[in-house]
Amino acid sequence: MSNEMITVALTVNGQPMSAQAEPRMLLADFIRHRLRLTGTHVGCAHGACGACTVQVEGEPARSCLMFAVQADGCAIETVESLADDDSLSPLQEEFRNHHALQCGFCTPGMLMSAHALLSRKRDPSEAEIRREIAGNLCRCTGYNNIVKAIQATARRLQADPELKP
Amino acid sequence: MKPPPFDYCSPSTVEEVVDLLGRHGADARILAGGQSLVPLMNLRLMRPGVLIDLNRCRELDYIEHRGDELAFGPMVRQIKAAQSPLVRQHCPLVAQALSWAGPVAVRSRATVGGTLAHADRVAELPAAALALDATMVIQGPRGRREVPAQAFFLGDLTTAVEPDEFLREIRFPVAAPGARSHFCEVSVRQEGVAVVGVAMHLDMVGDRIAKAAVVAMGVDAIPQRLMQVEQALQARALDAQTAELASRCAFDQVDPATDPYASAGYRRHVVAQLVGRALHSIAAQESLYEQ
Amino acid sequence: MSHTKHPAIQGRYVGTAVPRREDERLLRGLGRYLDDLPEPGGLFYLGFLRSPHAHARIQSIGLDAALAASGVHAIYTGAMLAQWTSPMATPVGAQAQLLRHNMAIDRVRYVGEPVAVVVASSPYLVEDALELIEVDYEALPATISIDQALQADSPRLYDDLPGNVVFEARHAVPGTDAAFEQAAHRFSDTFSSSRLCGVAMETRGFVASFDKGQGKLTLWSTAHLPHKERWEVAQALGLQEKNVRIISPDVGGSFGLKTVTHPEVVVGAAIARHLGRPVKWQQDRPEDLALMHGRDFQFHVEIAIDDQGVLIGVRHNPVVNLGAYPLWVTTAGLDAAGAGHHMMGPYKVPYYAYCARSVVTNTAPTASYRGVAAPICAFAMESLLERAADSLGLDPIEIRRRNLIRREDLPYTNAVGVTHDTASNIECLDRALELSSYLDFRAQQSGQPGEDGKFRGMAIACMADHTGQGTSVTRARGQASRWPGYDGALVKIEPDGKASVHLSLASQGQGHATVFAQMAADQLGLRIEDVTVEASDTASVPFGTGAGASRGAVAGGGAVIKACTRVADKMKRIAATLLEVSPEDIILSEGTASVNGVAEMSVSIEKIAQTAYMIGPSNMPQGESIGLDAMEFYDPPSSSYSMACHAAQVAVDPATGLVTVERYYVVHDCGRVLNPQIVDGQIAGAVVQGIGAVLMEAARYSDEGQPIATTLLDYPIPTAMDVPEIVIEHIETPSTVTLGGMKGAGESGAVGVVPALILAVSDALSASRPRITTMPLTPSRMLEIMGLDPVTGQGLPQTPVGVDR
Repeated sequence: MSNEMITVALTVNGQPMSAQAEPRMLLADFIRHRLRLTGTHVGCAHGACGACTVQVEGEPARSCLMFAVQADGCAIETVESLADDDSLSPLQEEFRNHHALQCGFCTPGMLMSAHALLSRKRDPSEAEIRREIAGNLCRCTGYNNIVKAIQATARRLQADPELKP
Repeated sequence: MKPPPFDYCSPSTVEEVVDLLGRHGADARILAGGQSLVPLMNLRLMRPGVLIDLNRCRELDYIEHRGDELAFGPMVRQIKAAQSPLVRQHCPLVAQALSWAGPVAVRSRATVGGTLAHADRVAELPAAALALDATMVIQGPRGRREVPAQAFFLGDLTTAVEPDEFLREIRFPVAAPGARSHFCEVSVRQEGVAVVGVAMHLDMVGDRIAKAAVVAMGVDAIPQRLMQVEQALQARALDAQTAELASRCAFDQVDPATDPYASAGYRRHVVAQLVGRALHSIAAQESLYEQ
Repeated sequence: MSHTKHPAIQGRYVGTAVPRREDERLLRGLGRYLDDLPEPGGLFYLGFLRSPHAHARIQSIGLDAALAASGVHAIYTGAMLAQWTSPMATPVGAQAQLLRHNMAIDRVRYVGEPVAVVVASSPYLVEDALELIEVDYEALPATISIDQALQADSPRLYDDLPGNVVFEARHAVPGTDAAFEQAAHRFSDTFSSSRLCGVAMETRGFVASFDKGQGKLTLWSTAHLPHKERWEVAQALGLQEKNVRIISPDVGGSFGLKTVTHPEVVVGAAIARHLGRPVKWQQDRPEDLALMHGRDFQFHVEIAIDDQGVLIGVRHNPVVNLGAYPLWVTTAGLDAAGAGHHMMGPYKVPYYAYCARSVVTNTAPTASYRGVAAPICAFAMESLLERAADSLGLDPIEIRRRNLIRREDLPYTNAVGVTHDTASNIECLDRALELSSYLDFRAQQSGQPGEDGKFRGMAIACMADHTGQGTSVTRARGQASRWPGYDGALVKIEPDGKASVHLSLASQGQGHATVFAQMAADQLGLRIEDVTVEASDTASVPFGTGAGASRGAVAGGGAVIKACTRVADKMKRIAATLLEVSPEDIILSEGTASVNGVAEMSVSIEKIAQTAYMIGPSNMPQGESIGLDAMEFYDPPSSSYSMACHAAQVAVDPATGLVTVERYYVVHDCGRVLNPQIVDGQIAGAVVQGIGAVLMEAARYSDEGQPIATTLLDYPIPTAMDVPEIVIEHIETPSTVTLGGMKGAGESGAVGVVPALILAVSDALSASRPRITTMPLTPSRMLEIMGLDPVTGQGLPQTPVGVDR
């Protein structure tokens, strides 16, 4: 049973991709080790730390709690989607400006949660920001600089309706 | 933290789901949002031989207003349910309970049916289902049957769903005009596993409580209906005396156990406090429909 | 205490909030943490079968079923590993040695001790095979707590030791007991900390690769102290240190707990050598939570006070629970001896005595967690001083004022012989009072709940953190070993005029690539873009102590200053020859050497480098050696004390027991601030770890020694919803003894937060005057402190209070 390989074809960061996976392979492992997009990190593999957060069909999701086969045909966005070759996205820039990362391990998941929030709501309140990232654990920063970075991005988004987070 | 192997099925119709359940029965598990099942599989605390993934069954994702009920397909994502205008208007307690049900990235995958069928002792929606007398529709090779919430939750992680069945639909009664509800819980940190919680729904006639439904979670292996509190609330006004009475009643009715996270005495005291708080909060609500 | 004076570091970068240079790649998802590295060909994955018993004898191990499982290449037991490795040894007492086998051979001493290791072709198949190994155990009675370990008749962990106490250090200022006899007032209590998990977001791991032809081992490892790990692995495998190379790539946090070399690393290295194939292990989160803890302390502390509230003496008996094995040669005593050194904090204490002990128990090994012993020392001292003030009718701020070390006391050599050379304690206190509106809060405090039903309290905590210790201090503490106290920097300017700094301190997220580049760029006169910091590879960096104990900026910074000074001096000599002026007239800035006051007389650093490497048209000055690099070590002459005053306001909900931290302030003095944003980040992060320790975190064990917190659902750490704004200000009093004037900044946030929060909670409940001596203050604990009966739930007013969120 069950060790047979299944082809998983999906769109990752706008690019069609496909690779083989046995049914039990976690989406996080698939993204990292089959597709070699290692920006998405695994911090707990039980859905409690948020480091592996990606967006599945535009909604934030823990990639450690999905099987790769479930993502067949889906559109997935990972941290690698945020910047272009030349420049960081506004959210990433504000993370740097506000020293919103130290060891950086939680950062990709934190960015994907914050990006999902700002994509949905360009003027979140501080309480909404804290609530939104409450599922993303960070052990280094104490969070306040992360909240400030998201607030600063929100201000830029409000000042420029064309801007994407 | 890697799950054990399994066979994966991804049916796209209920018919196929029933067929797969009939063939694999006790060896199969239903995969809904995966937010409870997959961690347990990663920890190898659950090891289904066959996983029947409902995520491609489009027909299981609906919220429908049918007469005096709101019917949910089991695959409605929790975040969609909590944000649905239909739910907020007609089953506010469901929306309130789901707003406590974990961080956004979890609720965006987790489903209404999944959390009910998983039946964790401190999950929010089972408490709300019990308070609202929801009807659980269970389907399997022997057909469909309806089980009231009161008979659905049998123990921590145990329900009336047989191994070859699945939770096909959940129907919540539509709140009566003027009804009010509240959900609150306490955890060790703001966003965390609940220690205790209270779900409350009150039908009102004028300024009097016509019928009360009060459920405590975290005091037993399944959410507990606080009947004595409900009786005590009958025909009373929403005032401080009522809150105090209900609180004392709740204190007397529950008999929780101690675990590493909270003492029995704590659970008892706090459930009583939350019952009082729920009444204060409900009293402060302008009207149900403005939520 | 003398050292060569160097000019104060100054320039364009040092002291400014240069955005971190490591951030862009981390934000892009281009970080290279262990599991992100490209995997070598022929890789096997490892997984460990672990003891389910706290204490047991291994009767038999059955491998047949597991060996037959899919993808399994080999399985090894402790007995097999013992043929290829030496056990790690910890001196205990005068002669005895405590041996730790890299995997259990016949006896397991904690839940989680490795018993067998599976080598297979995928991490999934590794876990499948682990389930098929059959082990028969004979359970033995276990010793779990400190109290049990101190009992003479408790089960012993080691047959060849007389008991479970494995370290004892005593110190007494003559006359201390007599001073206590005669003192007007004495106050004492026992203060403890629950065991804590570090919860670095990246768990541990390694890839081990052995080159059989050359006899060389390469380990990509999450090691916090690469040189120490190199030595321990080399010793265990019988290799020469030069033939072991440790590369620690991006490491996702440590907080002290990755300083320990784990048996898994030794096992992996041995298997890689045995098989001639690379092997990889990535620890999972339950292993992280259950296998390594910090700060399991029980400190009995007594203070003697005169009628004016002035401290006469402190004596104390700290006990540290090491778990089943002391993990490297200093760990048996590191935390206990640390308590001995740290208890006095920022206060003048004439009479001082302690007896510090460490015990072994059937629990997971512990290591030094951020702040080591100091958080609980500060908790004890601040609590006892407040009790003394209360008893004497003194204001709690005033009693601190009467005892804090002041500028006029300097230099102040404390009772264990460490000298305070700076003392802004009073200034920190005054500014914290002002910043936090402490007096306004006091004036308005009624002792009654607010409109929301919550009780509010406020407290301050004064603290001094012993940072940046040099070799002389580590030796005095009996720790001289592979944790010497100095660090090294190799600074190289390449022929194109760009510089790299190779540093003996590996980073776990502290921002070394920015801070040390700031220092080097200023000293070398380069743009920061033209300086990189390399600190991850023992093959390319000088030997040194490594980060930890708030020493990076002090020891690493000193080494960078010394090495850069040599390179800069050489550049000035070369430039002076090229420009036909005196070296003293040369200024290095913006990639150019120019003559002071004559800007048009200049030469680029690139040209200087070409001259130094003799690849340009110009000649080197007579007598200069080829090249442009320097390696220097800096050994801080003593320790430097950072000081701070923390102020906290909390709200306690009497209905639920929930404590909310509402306001938090830190006024901090770490001497010269190299990058204010990074220093603030260190402080804020450490404060939030302390919020976790005080309010929610506990790595509990059952009475049988089963760890209870094995997932992040059972072991909650703070989220963004649990933390207030943390307001930080600095008072910069440069150290007079360290090069550059830096004092450490990594831990003081974690130290002050424990007393500040607990005393604020006590203040909120001032009506019932609780004496809080343990943590965490979970909601359940809080209500019990307030009088709730944990069995019946009686004891508190049952009228519903407060309003919901």
